[in-house]
Amino acid sequence: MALKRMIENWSRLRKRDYYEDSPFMWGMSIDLNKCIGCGACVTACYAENNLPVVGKEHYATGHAMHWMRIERYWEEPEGETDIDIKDGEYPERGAHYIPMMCQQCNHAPCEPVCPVAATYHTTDHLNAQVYNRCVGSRYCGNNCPYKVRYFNFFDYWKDLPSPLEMQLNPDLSVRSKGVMEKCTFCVQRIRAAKDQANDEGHPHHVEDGAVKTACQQSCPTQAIVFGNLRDPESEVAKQWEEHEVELGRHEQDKSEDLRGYRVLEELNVEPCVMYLDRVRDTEA
Amino acid sequence: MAQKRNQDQWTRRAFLKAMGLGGAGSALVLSGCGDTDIINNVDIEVRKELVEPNVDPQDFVRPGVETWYASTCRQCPAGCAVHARVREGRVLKLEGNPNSPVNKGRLCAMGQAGLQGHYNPDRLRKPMLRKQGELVEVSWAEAEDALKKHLGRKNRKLAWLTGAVSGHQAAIIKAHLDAAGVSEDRFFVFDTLPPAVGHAVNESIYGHMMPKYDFGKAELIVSFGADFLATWMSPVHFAAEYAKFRMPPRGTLVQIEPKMTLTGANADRWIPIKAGTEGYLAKALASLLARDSEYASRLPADVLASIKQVNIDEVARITGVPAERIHKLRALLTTKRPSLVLSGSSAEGTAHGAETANAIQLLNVMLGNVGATILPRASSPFPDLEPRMGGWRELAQLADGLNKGAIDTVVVYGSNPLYQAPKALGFEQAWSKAKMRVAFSMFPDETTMASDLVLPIHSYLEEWNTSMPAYAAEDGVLNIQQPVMNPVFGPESTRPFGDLVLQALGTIDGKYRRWKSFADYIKESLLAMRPALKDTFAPTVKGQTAEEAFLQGALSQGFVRIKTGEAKTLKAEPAVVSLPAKPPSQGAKFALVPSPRLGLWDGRHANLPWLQELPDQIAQVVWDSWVEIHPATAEKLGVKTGDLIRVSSKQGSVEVKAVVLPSVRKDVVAIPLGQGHTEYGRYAKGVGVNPYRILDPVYDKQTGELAVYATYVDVSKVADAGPLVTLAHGDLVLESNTSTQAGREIVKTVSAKQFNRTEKEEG
Amino acid sequence: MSNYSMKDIEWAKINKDVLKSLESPRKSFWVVLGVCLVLVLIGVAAEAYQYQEGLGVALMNRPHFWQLYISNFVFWIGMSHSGTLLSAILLLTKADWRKPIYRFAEAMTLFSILTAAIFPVIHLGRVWDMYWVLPYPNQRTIWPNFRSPLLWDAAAITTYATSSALFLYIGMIPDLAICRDNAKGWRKKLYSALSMGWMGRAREWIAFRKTYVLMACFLVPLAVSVHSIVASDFAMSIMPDWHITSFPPYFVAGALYSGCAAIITLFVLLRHVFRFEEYMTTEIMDKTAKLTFAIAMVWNYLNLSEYASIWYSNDMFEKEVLIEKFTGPYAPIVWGMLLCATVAPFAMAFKKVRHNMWAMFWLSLVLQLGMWLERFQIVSPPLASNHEPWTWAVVWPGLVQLSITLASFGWFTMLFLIFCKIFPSVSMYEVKEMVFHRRHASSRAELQDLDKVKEEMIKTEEGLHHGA
Repeated sequence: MALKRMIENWSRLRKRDYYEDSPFMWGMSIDLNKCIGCGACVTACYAENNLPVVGKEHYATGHAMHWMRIERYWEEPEGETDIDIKDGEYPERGAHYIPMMCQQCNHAPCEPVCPVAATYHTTDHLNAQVYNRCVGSRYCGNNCPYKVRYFNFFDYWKDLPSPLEMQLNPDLSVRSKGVMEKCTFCVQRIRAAKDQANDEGHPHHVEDGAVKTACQQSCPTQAIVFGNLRDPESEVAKQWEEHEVELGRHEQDKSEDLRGYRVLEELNVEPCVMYLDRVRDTEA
Repeated sequence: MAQKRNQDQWTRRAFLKAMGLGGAGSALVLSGCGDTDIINNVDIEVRKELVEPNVDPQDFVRPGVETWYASTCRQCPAGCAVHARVREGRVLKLEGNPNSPVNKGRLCAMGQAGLQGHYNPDRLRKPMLRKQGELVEVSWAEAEDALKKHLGRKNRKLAWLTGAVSGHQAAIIKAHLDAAGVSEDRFFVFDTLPPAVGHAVNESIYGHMMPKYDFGKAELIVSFGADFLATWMSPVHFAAEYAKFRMPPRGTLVQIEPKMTLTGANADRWIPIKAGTEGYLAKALASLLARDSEYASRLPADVLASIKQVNIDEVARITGVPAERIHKLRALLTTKRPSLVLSGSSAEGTAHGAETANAIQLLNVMLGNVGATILPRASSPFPDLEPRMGGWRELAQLADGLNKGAIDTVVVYGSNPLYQAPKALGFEQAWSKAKMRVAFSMFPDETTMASDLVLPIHSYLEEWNTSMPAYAAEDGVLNIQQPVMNPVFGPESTRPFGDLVLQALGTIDGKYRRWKSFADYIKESLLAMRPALKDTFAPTVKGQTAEEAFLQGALSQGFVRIKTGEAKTLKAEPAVVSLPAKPPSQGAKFALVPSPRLGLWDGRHANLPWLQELPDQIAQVVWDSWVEIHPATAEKLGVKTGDLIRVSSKQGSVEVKAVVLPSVRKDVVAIPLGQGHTEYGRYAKGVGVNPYRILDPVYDKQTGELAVYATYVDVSKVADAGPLVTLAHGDLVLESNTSTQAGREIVKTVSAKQFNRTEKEEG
Repeated sequence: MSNYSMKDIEWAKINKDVLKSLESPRKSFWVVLGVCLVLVLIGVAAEAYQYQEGLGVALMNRPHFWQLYISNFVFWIGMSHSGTLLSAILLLTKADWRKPIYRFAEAMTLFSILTAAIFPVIHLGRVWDMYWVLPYPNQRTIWPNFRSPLLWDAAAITTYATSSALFLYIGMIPDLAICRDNAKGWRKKLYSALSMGWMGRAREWIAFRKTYVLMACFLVPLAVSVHSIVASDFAMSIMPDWHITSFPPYFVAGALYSGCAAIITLFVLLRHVFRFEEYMTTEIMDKTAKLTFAIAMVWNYLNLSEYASIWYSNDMFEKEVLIEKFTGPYAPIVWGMLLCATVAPFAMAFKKVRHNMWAMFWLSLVLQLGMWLERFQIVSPPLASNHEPWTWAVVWPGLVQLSITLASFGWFTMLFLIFCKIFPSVSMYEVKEMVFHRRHASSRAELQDLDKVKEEMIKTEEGLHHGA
């Protein structure tokens, strides 16, 4: 009984990190100094995760299903002035690109509000979405500060003309109407790597680099680093450490010079994705 | 033994099994004895009922287990090597081949979307032949007869028109021209994005059309419109190079162009310049540099003399770039060294494109970049396999040949001039004069549908081929392409391009009949090339012959490296700068920038839904065309995002929705390339407009290339943004994001100075 | 306690007048019922279309995952609070002027809950799995998520609907007996069954009184909690301008406010249609209006203090939403709400307005419009300017949502019309009680004395009964 389990685990439940002793916490680091905003990751995600193409009409009504999007801002840091050219006339420092997908929050605001517990935290510290369980109240979508949850407003797979369906990845399902979905950190790849590690006799250790998310894999500038934050040897854990970004803090106590930050960190949702500041040569 | 039963003898049990296993093919395990039904060719072993999934087992196919095949991406001429993930006989995903020097394991959006070309519902599945003016579907037998009749003979009036091709494909096309008794100058290559002017200028200055660039070594890149992150020759390779360039100590990127490209969006300083005046800026910079004897000494006297007299204020007025900015650029060029100065399409596609490119490359020579960041190439022992690229000049030559009657049979493959050629070029008329137009094509594109014989070919994931990258990251790499799955529509629907050409060749010349297929031809050639290759592959399995071992090794590597000669040093001989004193005034007209984008490329990817749905990197629009207008201009014209705008040149006009963005100059409007197809399947047909159609016929005199950026247009508002605006909700997104993150610090920025101070150098 | 004209009404006349309202519907009744039915059918068609195609046809999107369905839900739940207020709270506080008007208010409560309950259901992406939200034991031992306010909602609504229905029914039993005694045909059967053999014996009255007061005691905190829970749907989220601590009282006040306005509307209509002028007097309207005014002021206070706390907190996200509310694309809605719900109620400060039935009728409609707009501006503008500027977008509800909204009004009116023709919309026995009071008492003290006398009488009767 779930209730019994709950009572048994009461002291655990009250802890800040429920799965404190789990050997896995999948995390990401995205270097905005390298990101060029080309969109390779977006398309790779479409290919890997059976994302539907919604078409012009549905896109126009805001029903697009890209799990990953590249945001483009023009705004400049304060105090930037330019010779002889009126401020703001042209974005002379280029655009601000940021790939935005599910941040796999440790204090995910989407999780407590789901009436049927269709979204929950896995022992791997992933924010999972159970399609079968979802009834489509869309509360999670509202409560997501990053707005990275995507709702199947229609049965898009019905619009897929043959033989395009042959491309669909059999490792994960095609979602039907009325179900919420979002970036899973390519959980099917994580699953496969963990199974392999298990077969090889080390179930608590997945080699760094054995899991590459589709976006990371395709990124032409390798701006995305993915791995296990609980593995101190992993590239991503090293980057987090180097930039002094820590989980379990809602305000990072770190030097101003370091570039690591998490988007909307002040909301205390503990995202597992760290971004590294964009860089511009202000002397050029 | 199998015992046959009549249908009316079906037991309920057998019937249920047949229902459950309908169409299972030979998926059932047949046991030697027992009561076996044969229903619809399905064998059912009753006692054991061993059932396997609905798969036709092929070699190396194990249900549920993925297999990876190495091959080559053909979505653009860059030639990235890919690994294709195959499961149950279907290719599911393409990823970069980590061993490839071109893309180092990465793949761009277009490469990813290759799958959707392969599985495209609009792929041609039957040959077509024009009968009484109509294209009608015919059988392969009839199509083959027509192919042999028209291409399987000596024909002095034959011509080939292709997109950028290389490798053995280029070789057999040449062989076909040879066999037909036509010289190689009837091998026309038309592709709009490879920098034809740049190639010509490079050839004259450096002695090689495409020297190698070392981004990692450069401290400063000044790019005159070279959109190397998106559309310039080899985007994935240059993006990786860019990442290297941006590591500490971080290089500085300055982009100079009239409309912001993806590269401009990532620049430290984006300098909007009046369209067509890049040469004047380059000349001014050269003139400023020439005040320093170190730089001046690298130029011959006549060249030096041609840049001596420049009035910076005058240049500032011509180019729209403030004089202070020009001086600052000069200071940057002198302090950050070595540097790299690039010229790209917006600089080269002007009325004096070659002179402009020459003036830009002059800077490299003066700064001593040649030999530092611009490196020589080694010569290849197989020049026939080198990539063939071409541009508007070759298309004009073909049109000329057709008009004069010197050409009556055209074979077209991988090129779509009827979509791309501006109306003013009159290519349609020339095309209609050909007696026989043969199209090898996967899709019903404009040119294919205007041909007389249409042969549906395999996708690049179904056929054998070799190719060489348009920009070689490493000299002498020959990419191998192999089928990663059985043809989607079966062998009776589409055929490999190479097989068909070999068939035509065999009809003319018996010696080509010895290869049953293009696959055999390629395998044999590769085996024959072995002594000239760096790679050797030793047998890995007992009993494997050296040939088998080689093929296995080469195929699983995905490419082979050819032994190349020593790299010669580059010469550095810029020509005299001969730009006119000032560009002609265009009055109140706007310069039209037909901007290429990473995604739809030159329009060839408009039929791939993933790419239609990939937002433009700057304007964020999907599934449509738009015209980019600067906010100040928009205010003057009373235009807001979503309004319908008429953009008219002397050649015609297009009506398209406006997107008000600060990333274009005030005197420029930009319409992206790729849309406006009149054919090309359900995803592309009737979507958006094609800016190429209204270009003025202005040519660069030196190279004969069309000056794509030299059309000036009038802009007027047709209708208000109504409820039918396609950007509906995007509308607000665009406007709110023209400036602001609303203080949320979604993207944080630090200065390069601080970055260099705090970040360690890698490797 | 001045001169109620009521005291002169004959008891038999009360029965006659009220029972008359159950008979022979006029032509206009059928016309209005027909219109309502058409509206409902349009709504059903819209829902069927939405069910078939997917929720996208309602034109909600990301970030506007919630829209009219939710604001309608809040509106109708709010509406339901009036009945509880009038019958339960005023019963417990012994405000006897509620007596002629509480019955229809209770009916309104029930029907608005029934209307409100539709919305969270059709709002779901997979309507067919709606029962998963309910905490029922099942073989898979899968429980819903008890942390989710939506689950609290499901529990609260079902409880509230059941209790309101019971409360309405129990309060109606003596009247149903009167109906039974005067009816023929199917009505006789219906009333006989429903009145459960009510004979008007003292013991019955005692049990009735106890149950009724007990239900009222139960219902008052329930009503407060229900709307607090509805408020939690917003307050428990982290959306700027939803995540507000004062939302529960603010929602309760708003609910009572719109409920009172609805009572005024129906008050005037019933009074006019059934010629209940003698029962639904100007004095009662005066009191109702004063009550409404008081609640409006509480609501206003909470609303303005919410603005103030956002403004002075200087929270970047909330402030942005607030500024956008007043200046952005949703500004007409927000200003409309302020005009209708903040400014308009001040008209009730004037006696002239309070005593003019039709003025009150139109005013009550304005107040309700204001409160409907309030619900819309609670839901939509924060979604339009959420945390993530890239996703900012303004979306207006589509045709499907609007037709279902209209249908909900049709549905509510239809239920109410049918109720009025089957059940007495004015409580006969309570009016009699009131008339009795008016006749025999001229001051509050006397009234209380009278109550004592009544209690004693009943007790004696009870004692007698037990003795026997």
